[in-house]
Amino acid sequence: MAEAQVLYPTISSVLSYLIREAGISESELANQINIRRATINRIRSGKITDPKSSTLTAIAKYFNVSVDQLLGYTPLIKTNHRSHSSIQVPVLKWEDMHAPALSSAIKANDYTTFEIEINREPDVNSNSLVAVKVNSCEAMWPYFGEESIIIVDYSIQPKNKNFVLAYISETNEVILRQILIDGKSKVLSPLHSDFSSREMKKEDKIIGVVIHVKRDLW
Amino acid sequence: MLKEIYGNNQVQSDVLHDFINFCTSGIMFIRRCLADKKLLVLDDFYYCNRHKNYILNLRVRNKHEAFKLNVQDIYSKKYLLKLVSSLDAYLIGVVLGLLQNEIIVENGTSIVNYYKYFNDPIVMPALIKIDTLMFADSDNDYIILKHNNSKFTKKLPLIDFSKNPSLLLGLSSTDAFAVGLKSFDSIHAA
Repeated sequence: MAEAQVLYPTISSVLSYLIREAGISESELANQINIRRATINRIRSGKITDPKSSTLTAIAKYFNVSVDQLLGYTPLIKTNHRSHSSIQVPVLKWEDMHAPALSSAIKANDYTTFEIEINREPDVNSNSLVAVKVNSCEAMWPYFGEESIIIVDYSIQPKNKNFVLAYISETNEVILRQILIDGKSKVLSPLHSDFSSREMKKEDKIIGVVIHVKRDLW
Repeated sequence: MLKEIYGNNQVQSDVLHDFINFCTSGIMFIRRCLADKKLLVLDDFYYCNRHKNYILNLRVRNKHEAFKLNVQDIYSKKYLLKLVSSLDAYLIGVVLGLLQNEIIVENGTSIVNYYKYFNDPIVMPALIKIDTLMFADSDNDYIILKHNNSKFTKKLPLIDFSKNPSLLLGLSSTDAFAVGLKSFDSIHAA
């Protein structure tokens, strides 16, 4: 992975860059590291060019850079402050994933939340994620065993070989399968060869695409 | 003076005693594993045109006793995964992935040898486990690994992880099987 190297020669420009990249304000930073906001403001504006070592260490530790990098002596490697962040997603029951009930279950707001780390990619909308505990899914072993939680995005369209949650109208149940798309044909396929594949009908619906599986949680 | 010398010797002998205990307990552990279970080794695999299936050649470790297994039977005989090393479990997952995606590799000996050349797989307790699998497009799947006895976690691209036999050995065999099933195409490309 090629990472662009950005050189900032002074502490004021380095600090301004780090604050901007982290998306926080001066006062938030000051609260986090127990340093006066005025001090941070003076460093940013260039009025202080040689801060105390305790101030430097605290700032460097917060942004996960070295003091040399903060002072501009060594290049600052662009870090992905925003690439991984934790968000809270609602935890729903398996039966709530029934397509018509999904939105009302989320609106009801009587769920617990679950913290996950997501990739902050442009196409990931954190408001459309839900977490569901997998009760038992022998057909999808070994990915989706008991005691695992899946994170489902119900705003994206499934691509070929994605793992999806699908509502089967005939049996009135929600199943977890791998979707195989070939032109207009969509087949819900299990990993386990003893279970049969099923071609999707018009009445069946894709509830969402599984983007994470978290195991060994409870 | 004598007490001081005696004291020093006592300390040294305790350290030596601990060291010997440590070494022998490791050896005993492996011996016990071998005695309790007939550990298995994946020798190679091949595609059977007649049955349209992959056949695994499994052998009992340190014995000549060998048998063939249809790779799809691993679902009904999951206990077999506990008798092979995690590297072998990974390779079994790869073979199943090849079958499910209808990729034919006539003879798998070279693939098996590639993974075993640098390693002498033994069955050992897992050191790391899969915490999270992050699905994206097939080339961008990520895996978050967690150390069993600490909070240390590491996020890696699945493809990079699957090319690292030493890390694969640290997984439990079921986890390694899951990684193999997801990253079959990387080994096929290799």
